[in-house]
Amino acid sequence: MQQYHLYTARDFALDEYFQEWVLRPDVKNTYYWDTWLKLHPEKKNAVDTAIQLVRSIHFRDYQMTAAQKEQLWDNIWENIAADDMTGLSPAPAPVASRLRIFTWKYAAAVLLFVFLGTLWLFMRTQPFRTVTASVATQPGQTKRLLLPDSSEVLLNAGSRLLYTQKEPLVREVWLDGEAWFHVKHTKDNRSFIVHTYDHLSVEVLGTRFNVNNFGNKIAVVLQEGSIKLNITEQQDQHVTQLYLRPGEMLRYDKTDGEYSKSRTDAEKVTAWTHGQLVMDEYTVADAIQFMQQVFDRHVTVKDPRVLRYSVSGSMPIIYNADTMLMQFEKAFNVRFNKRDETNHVGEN
Amino acid sequence: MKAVQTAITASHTVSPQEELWNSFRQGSRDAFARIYQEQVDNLYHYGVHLCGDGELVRDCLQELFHDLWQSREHLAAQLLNIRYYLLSSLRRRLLRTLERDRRFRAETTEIPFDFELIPSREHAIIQDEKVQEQVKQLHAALNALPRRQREAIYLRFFHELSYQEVADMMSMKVDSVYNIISKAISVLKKTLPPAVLLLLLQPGK
Repeated sequence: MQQYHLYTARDFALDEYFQEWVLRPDVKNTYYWDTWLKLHPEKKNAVDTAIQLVRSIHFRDYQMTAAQKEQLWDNIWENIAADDMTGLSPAPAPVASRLRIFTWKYAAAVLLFVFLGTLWLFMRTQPFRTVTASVATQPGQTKRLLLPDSSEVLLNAGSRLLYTQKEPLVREVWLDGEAWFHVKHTKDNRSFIVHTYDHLSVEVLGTRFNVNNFGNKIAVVLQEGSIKLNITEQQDQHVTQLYLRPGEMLRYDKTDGEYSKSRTDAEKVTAWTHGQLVMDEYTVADAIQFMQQVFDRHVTVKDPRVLRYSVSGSMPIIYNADTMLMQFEKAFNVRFNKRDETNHVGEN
Repeated sequence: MKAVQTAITASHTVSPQEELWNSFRQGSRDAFARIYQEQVDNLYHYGVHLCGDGELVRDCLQELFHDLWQSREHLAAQLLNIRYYLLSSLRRRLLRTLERDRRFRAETTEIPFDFELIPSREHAIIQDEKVQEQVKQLHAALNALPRRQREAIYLRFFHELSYQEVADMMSMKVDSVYNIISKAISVLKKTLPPAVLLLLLQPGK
């Protein structure tokens, strides 16, 4: 662990990881520094100064013209083709006649390469910029997002999604909290990766699934398609790959790295995406957990035995903490203690 | 605090760079074209800074990419940073060529290094003459550093090589790279008073 809280502007500017964030921001380092700054607001000035220090280093620019670049590329292929030619004729003929014999064939090949190469250049020269976007929801709020690859994400309350596209065709997000994904399958089978800031990531091609990365547990539930889970074992850093089938759930414990697969009702888990809470043996403890995740509201009950009370059925999710709590009170016929309203001060 | 600790361990799968490198090694011309397209501008930039002779750099680049294709099957499978690999290859080739040419020229001809630091665009738009003057001083101070040190700064900040990579490429110790960059930051900090820095602050970061 770095002693960043003791750093001066100069120390930050010298730190490799800090420089990387300023020079080449991506979701991982942006998340790291944003989070760090939130925890250390008193360091904002030092960090701003350090950003400027790093940014003020610039060098004179030298560029080839497009024509020079193309010419260079053509020369490279011409040489390669010439090599292939000598490779094919172990007894090289005199230069003149060799040229006559091979010219048309290799000229055609070279032209083809040049053509393909130029085509490539044209397709590739559209300027590509790193996109790093971050979307967060407040307690009691959900958001529906459409990613640039037209995948759909529904972000549950109190969650955060970072999206990056460093290179074309790479789809990667980092999730804190809970989200439901509908990933569009691409023609070239590009995978879509959900990272969880822990030893687990979810890799898919095109499918619908839910990831809940709230508190100490991660739960991944698959609705349709198939997904691959990459779990880095905590002991030996070995990566275990697991596959989920529709209706299966993986639970992962962040504290000890234990995980297990089970069957579940995917519709039940994802009911929140259409504003429903489907309760099947739903306990008071589950309701307390719900209030905490969705509204950042910490409620308790007097008698711990009450925690095991359960009901089955369904109710609409109302994005208002008091109304929701009242609904739970009615359903369980219990009273909750709303002891610390001030608890979420300091969260933001 | 938890997020701070776990952020670094976020799991890692095969990176697109590795994928690109592997398909290139298997003979994909598309991958080769992509590597060329992605790297050639940076390589040229470095080459001209190193020797100041665009034509020589283009010749070396032609040779480099040609050899790269021809030897693709023998190249390392695990390549962490394509840019680093190509930059150090270009560096070796250029220095070798310059060394060879030098034998035919006068003994005293020095290898011309450049790595000239210039004000960034943000600096250029500042109207205030006083600030302009300070910025000018700042770059004069940086350009007064020995060339080798400027090259290290350049490799770190322009090409974003890691301290370790810069050290390997220039055959120096990581500590030395750190010291050089530390010196540059000091110069920057001394010459740029906080007021100027505040002026330079951009919205959006």
